[in-house]
Formats: sequence, structure tokens, C-alpha cells
Amino acid sequence: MNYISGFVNSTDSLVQFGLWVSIGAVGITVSLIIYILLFRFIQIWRNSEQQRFQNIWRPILALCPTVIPDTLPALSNRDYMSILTLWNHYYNIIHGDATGNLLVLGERLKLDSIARLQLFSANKRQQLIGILTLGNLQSREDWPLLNRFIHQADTSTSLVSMRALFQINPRRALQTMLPYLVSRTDYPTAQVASLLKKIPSNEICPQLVLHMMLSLGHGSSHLLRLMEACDCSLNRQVFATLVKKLPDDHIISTALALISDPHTLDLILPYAQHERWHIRVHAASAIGRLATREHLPVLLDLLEDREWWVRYRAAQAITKLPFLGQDELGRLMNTIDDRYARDMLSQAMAEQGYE
Amino acid sequence: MSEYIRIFEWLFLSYFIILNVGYIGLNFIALLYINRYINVLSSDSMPSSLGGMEPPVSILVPAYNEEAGIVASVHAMLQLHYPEFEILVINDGSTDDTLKSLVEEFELRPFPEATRLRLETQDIHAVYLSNKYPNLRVVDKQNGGKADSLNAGINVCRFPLFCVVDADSIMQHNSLQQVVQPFIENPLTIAAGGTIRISNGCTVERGFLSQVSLPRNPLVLVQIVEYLRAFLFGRMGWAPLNALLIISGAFGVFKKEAVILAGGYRANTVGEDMELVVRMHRIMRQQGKPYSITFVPDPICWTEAPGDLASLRSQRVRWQRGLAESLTLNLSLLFNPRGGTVGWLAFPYMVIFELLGPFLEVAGYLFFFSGLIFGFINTDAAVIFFIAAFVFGLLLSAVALLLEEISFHVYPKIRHTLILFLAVMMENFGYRQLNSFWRLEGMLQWMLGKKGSWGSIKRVGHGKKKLAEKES
Repeated sequence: MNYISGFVNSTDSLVQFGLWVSIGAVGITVSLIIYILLFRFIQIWRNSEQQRFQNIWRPILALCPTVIPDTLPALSNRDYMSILTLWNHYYNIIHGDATGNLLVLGERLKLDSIARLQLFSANKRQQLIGILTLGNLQSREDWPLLNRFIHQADTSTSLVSMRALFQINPRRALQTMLPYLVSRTDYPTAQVASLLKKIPSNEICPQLVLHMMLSLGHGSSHLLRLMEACDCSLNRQVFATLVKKLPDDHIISTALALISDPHTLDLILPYAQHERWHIRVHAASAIGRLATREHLPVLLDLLEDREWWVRYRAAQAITKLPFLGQDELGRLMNTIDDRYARDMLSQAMAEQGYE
Repeated sequence: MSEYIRIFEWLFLSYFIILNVGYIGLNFIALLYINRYINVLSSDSMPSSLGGMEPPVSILVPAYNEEAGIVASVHAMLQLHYPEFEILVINDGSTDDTLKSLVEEFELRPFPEATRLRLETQDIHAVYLSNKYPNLRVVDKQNGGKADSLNAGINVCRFPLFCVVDADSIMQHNSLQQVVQPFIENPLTIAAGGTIRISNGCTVERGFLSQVSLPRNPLVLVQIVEYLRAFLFGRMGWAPLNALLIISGAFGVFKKEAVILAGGYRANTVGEDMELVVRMHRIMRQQGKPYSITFVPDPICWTEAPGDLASLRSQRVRWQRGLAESLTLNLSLLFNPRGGTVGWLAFPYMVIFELLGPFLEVAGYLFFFSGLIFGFINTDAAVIFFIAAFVFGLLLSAVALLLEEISFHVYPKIRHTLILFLAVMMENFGYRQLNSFWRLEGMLQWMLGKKGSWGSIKRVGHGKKKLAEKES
């Protein structure tokens, strides 16, 4: 006891400093431990509440595609997020006509009102769940409200709102989205493409092409990547205008990937000699898609390119030519002197299942 | 003389306090980041808005004498939930039946691969393709070590992203989906790591974790706390600053072109995983290219931790050597004008507290112990030093438990939380001190130029399954 007392009352500055720092740390540690235990107990309580909720509602939602009970259990305020989460979960896994009953159930539970309440929450997750639900409910009357969220700087909020609009009316949403395709460079291409694919490519592609031609320059590269993801193609006129007005290598290589018009072949052939290898890669693929027998020498030249990827794409293109069968490919192989070209063609043939 | 002793007393105490204040700063960043991540990014009810647009990934599995477990590991990986991926096992000149067991189980046949040799490696004997699983290939090569195997895998792999996985790592069905998110959300991402959790005590069925629990082995229990500290706030604190210097070799995803630009894995290091990441930072910053190296806090990969002192010592010595190699091979990053948060925060931090730390820590312990024995320091100073070290150690581990509790709470029972508290206490009575000595040993080995090796780790597997020993 005397030692402890002497220690605490020490005049040594080092000891005093160390002591008070340690006391502070002990205090924080004890508080953390208490907090962790409390948190764990709260979590246990929440889990049991969640389990109670799931035991009631999961069977209802699981059977929903076939039958909806005449009477539904009451929902309290604290169940709101849970019901939205569960309902959205089933919406994601149920497909086709079975979603009809899910929408009816959503209507009976007044999920649209519950979802709207979440939109004004400070908690971002609640906001996102609310937006998601209104989109899944295809709540047309909430179009203006959802439209406001698109303008938010936060990428996920903006994109989820956009997704909701696409679910309500894809064609109308596309008109809303088109200006953002260029300005919102924060939108991940993959996620935008997954939205655009809700519209058939024969409808979406002309609009994307038109939008690109009207806004030539700014964002064209991004738009081209989206078009590629949506399986769009460029015709001769568009391709010619694009490469003339925007002779940027990335634009050219992406545009080459979108060519499917055989009348464009004469415009593509010069790119087989381009100084940039990634353009030659795309030229090889494009020529392969459109080539006739007279263009085979061009592909064979590319097969002997100094760049591996050019050789690989040329080899793939050659093995996929409709007028060349396995036997002819074998004979062709024997005429090639370049070892690297032969190896590459051999690999491409093996990939096609040729012996 | 007493003045010098005083200076040392303040030096050691200040070192501990500054070190721990730095950790607390990382805690704070990690807390903010994980709060945001849990609330938004990992929401289970958010739709998978990718719709099959995830980029394809090559999973590289270097294998040396893994005949006991490689077939099961590959079977598990084939069940991953991901739209497009390939598995590339690199048989690094195994002397057992690793290749034979793969050939038989997966009906492998030689494939005329026109390999693009962008990184120098030992000779590749053959590439095999599976008749049963078209997305499985095996590269059979001359022995060259893990780094060499990975470079060979990079040469052969087809996709723009590759995932490095140890042969005995246990992934989750959605591991790839989670670790690929940063690449989708930010096209500047060139590398992403995931949290590695300890699988000891857990139940594994058909290559996947079916039940999470804690081991009985106290040595492993303290490692669990240590991993929580290292991963949850150590890496999550640095990642938002784009200053993460390590992505574990047990599980990480990289952009192939970025790795090739950096020169691939360095073959003559034991810490090839960290050295690559540090080098990637250096190269990208030197070239002034924007990039991101980040971290996914979800627990997505599980690995077995050493359960005996000898194996643990071997591991920790090797890690410290790897750290020393990684930092000294990229020393130009330190306070580099273009270094940014890496050169001015993370790198100096690593040098002072991780690289030189063992010297100061061990010297501190020796100084105070010998001071007490020989009476040249005052008892109060010694006592306060040990109290401060102990208390801060407790605090940091408690924060790691808090982060775990508010985020993923992987351990479901309250009993687990209490056991981990005990482990937090135990950690400070001997384990930390041992670690300091092992790290010092690693530093001395590195300084003396002793040739590095992986050593051997005794693995007991999960349930009754025994895994092969790893040898270099």
C-alpha cells in the first residue's frame, strides 16, 4: 500500500506522465469492454427479434408466388427495415410471373409508404433500401421523387435511383439517363450497361449512337464502351465520321470492336498496319468477323505480328473463318514458316477443339 | 550517467506511446471506413447490379508438394460463385505426386499453349487443360519458388485480373465477387486484398467453412486477436489513404498489367507479396499515374495459423525478413517528393515502428530489466514502462475486438467474445515480448545476409484431415 501511495504521489515527471497516460488508457479499455459486452447483448436481442420476424414473415413471402394469406400479421415501426429487406430479397430471387403476387403483397402491406419514409432518413442504407423498393414496386407516382435522387453527387444513390426509374419505365428512364452518360464519369460502366440492357439492343443502340454523334468528343470513349457492353454495332457512315473527327487511338480501337457491317471492311483494312498494337488487335478481330477468302493474307500477316495479342486475335479470327475447315487449317499451318505464328495457330485450333 | 539513463527512459516510454497513438489514429480511420462499409457497401439486400458484368479473373495457385490437399482445394475453388474465372495451378517442380493426382482427378491433357513470356521464370515443361473442367489448367514447371511460380502463372493466365491464393487457403463461395468490387467501382484499382481469418477451430466441409468457432490452443487464440488487429485496423486504416503496403499472399487480386509493369514478383525474397505491393506503389508514384491499392474488410479467406512455438517463430522471423527486404529494396519511396501518403506516412511508419521497432522494443525490455536488476534505473520508471506497454496493448486489442463486434461479428457466441477478451489479456504476458524477440531475430538474419527460406509449418488441418508440410 505504501509503495502504491508513493508511486502515485511520485514527483518524477516520467512516472507521473506515464501513470496518467496509463490511467487514461485503462479507462478507455474498460469502457470499450463494457461497450462491447453491451453491444453483444443488444445484438443478441436484435437477432432474436430478427428471428421472430423471420419466423413469421419468411414463410409468407416464400409461399407468396402461389398463395397470399387473407390476413397478414401487423407490422410495427421497428419491422419496417426488416420487411423491406426481406421483400427485396425475395424480389431478387423470384422471377417471371411469380413476382406478380409479390407486388400484390407489397401493395397490401403498403410498402410504398414505408419505403417513402426511408427516403428521408439520414441513414444512407435506409435511403437506398427505400429507393430500391419503390423501383421494385414500379411505383409510377414516385417518379418525380426518385428523379430528384439522380442528381445527388453520391454515386450509389444516383445509380440506384436510376435503376428504380428503369424498372418503372425503361424508355422514359433512358431519356433521363442519356445526358448523364457523358457527365457522370463516376458511374461504373458495368453497372450502367446492366441498366441499359433492360432495353432491347435494337432500341437502345440507335439512341446511343445518336447521342454519341451529337456530343462528339466529350465522353465518346465512355459511350463507345457502353455500346460495346450493350452489343451495339456501328455502320460504315458512323464509323467513318467517328474516326475522322476523333482520331484518338482508344476511340478507334473501341469503334473497331463494334463493327459488324461488311461494307466497312475497306475502312478497317488499313488499321491492320497501324503502329499501335492494340489497334491492330481490334483490327484483326474486326477483319475476322467480316473477311472473305481474299482477305485471308491480311490475317496471315497479322498472325506473324511482333505482338502476342495481335497474333492471338489473328489466330482466333482465322480458326473461326466460316470458309476454312479443320483440314484446310491444317494445310495452312504447314505453309507457315514463322514458329511463333504456327504456335499461336496451333493454340487457337486447340481452343476450337481441333486436333 | 544518470542523465543518459533518464534520456533512455524517456526514449523508450515515448516510443511506446507514439507507436500506440499512431495505432489509435489508424483505428479511428478504420472505424470511420468500416462504419460506412457496413452501412452501405455490404448491404445484403442491395441488388447485384452487375448482372454478369464482373470482369473475368484468373486464380493462380502455386503448388509445391501439395499432393495431400491440392485436389480438394481445386474442387472447392471450382465451386466458387462467379460468372467467369479460370483456375491455374502452377506445379513448381513438386517431388511428390501433386501433378499426377491432378492429372488423374481432373483428366488433364497437354495443351499447346503459346505462352507469352512477359516475366522471366524457370522453364515451363507443359501446360495441361482439363477435359472435365474447361476453366482449369495446370502449369508444370521447373522448381523456382513461390514468386517464380506466380510469375509463370501471370505469363500463362488469360484474364486481366489475377487472384493469388495459397493452395490451403479456404475461400468463401462469394470471395471473388467481394474482392472484385473495388475494381468495378474504381477503374484505377490495381490491387485489392481481403481479410484473412484464422480457420483453426472451425469446421470445414468440402473445402468451405461450415461452422465458425474458436480453437482451444491459446497460442492460436492470441493470433486471432493479433490478426483482427493487423487486418481490421492495420490495413483498413491505411487503405483509405491509398497507403496500404501489404496484400497477403494468401489472398489478393491484382491487375495483371500493373504487376507486369512493376516487373512481377521478385524471386529472391521471402516477402514477395509485400515487396510487390511496395514496388507497385513506388513505380506508379514515380510515373505519376493515378492508382488505388485497396482492401476489402469482409472476411473472405481463411487460413490455418501455426499452433506450436517453433512454427510460429519460423513464420514471424520470415515475415520480419520479408518486411526488411520489401522496405530496403524500395527505399527510394521514403520521403520521396512524389511519395504522397505512402512515402510520407506509411513508409516512414513502417521503417520506424515495424522495421526498427524490434530493436527498440527488445532494447527497452532489456534496458528496464537490467536496470532493475543492477539498480541503475529507478523502480518507478521501470514499473510505469511495463504498465504503459501492457495497458496500451490491451487497449489496441480491445479496439480490434470492438471493430469486429460492430462489423462482421464472425464469432457468434458471447462465450467467444469472453474467450477473446482473455486472449487479449494473455497476449500481453509473453506473446508480444516473444514476438519482439523473433522479429529481432528476423532482422539480424536479414542483416547478416542469411539465405531466406519458408521453413516448415506443422499443420493439423481441420477435423481429422492432416495437410502436407510446406517446404521450400
